[in-house]
Amino acid sequence: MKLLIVILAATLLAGCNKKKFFDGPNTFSEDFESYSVIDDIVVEDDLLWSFFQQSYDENTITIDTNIYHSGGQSVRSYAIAPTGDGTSKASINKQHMAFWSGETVQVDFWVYLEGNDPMDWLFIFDIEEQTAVGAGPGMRLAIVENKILLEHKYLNPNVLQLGEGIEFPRDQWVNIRFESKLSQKKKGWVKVWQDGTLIIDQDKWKTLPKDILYFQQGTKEMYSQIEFGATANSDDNDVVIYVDDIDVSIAD
Amino acid sequence: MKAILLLFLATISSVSYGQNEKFLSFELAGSGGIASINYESEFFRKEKIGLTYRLGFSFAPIDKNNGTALVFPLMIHGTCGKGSHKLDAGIGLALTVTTRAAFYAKTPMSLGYRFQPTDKNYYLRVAYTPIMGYFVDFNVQHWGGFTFGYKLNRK
Repeated sequence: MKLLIVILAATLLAGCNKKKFFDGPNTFSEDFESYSVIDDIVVEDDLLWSFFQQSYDENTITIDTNIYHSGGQSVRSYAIAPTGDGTSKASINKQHMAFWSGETVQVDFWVYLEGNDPMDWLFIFDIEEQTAVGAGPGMRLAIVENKILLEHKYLNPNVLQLGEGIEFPRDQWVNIRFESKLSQKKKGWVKVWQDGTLIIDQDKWKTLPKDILYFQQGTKEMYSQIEFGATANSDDNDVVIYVDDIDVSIAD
Repeated sequence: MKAILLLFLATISSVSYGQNEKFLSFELAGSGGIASINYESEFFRKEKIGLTYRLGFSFAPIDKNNGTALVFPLMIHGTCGKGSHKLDAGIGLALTVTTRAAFYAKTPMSLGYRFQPTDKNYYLRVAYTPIMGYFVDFNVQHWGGFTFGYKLNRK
């Protein structure tokens, strides 16, 4: 009984300065021009990229010198169609960044989707938080019925394109610009442009996740990780996707 | 998971029959999340005031990559009232460990009405059970629960 009281009291008094403890960069630029092999992009202390996600042995991530947006190199991700439970991933991740509630995060990148196979629920960009307990809640851009939509890894409905929307072009470079004012309340917003055309414009929106009972614990009113490539392929087809010229920043 | 459940049942089955009331309770929603089973033992009573500690178990499946969260609500409840109708308030700590070795803790609280007939071996409780987080960010989730408790040391 005494031990129980001591544990309760000690825990009730605990806590931390989250902005100090979880601090990190909120800007990042990458053109993939300075690497010889893909392993070069992951270095210690998350100075460049942090890790790869490859959920199947057949999935590959490589530096490509044939298809690139600028310079002479890009990153190529190949993700097979999932063969069992879960999705197929071939992506690059950067973690320990810090985008806080109240800030407006801006992510600009170029993407090239190879081939004309039907592609539903291919995720190409994620911005997430790492929670102590939970599944990395965040916002993601997915291609569904060949159009981009915004999906959430927390309790929030998908956001579809304005009007009829526009198709996602294949076998060519496409510029995606993602901007979001971050808020756990309905005080945030999200805008997405495809080749300069505003396709998603959602105001008064919860753009940060909250704790959900014991399923998701330790949210901090922030995002800490970005992910590009085939961040999740849920479709019946294999996918090849290229990424180049990434720029991440916070609005003034 | 089965081993933990067996350990929990073995622990509560070894309770000694004494003067203090001991309960096995099931709470739907409430402090354990979706639902929990709990062992409760009264350790203090003076006139119409009683104090009870509560050791619970619950779980929350997350996903394939993150496994299942095993939740252990540890709480102290105070009851106030004479006869069958009582005010019931509690606070504690809900320790979570996942099957992927992640760890966290939150503070469940409870404020409700407890119906405990003096001539029966059960109680019912309906309560507002907010769950508070404060380690890295202060937040409160509004929640509620309904409890059925069965007295282990029956008269």
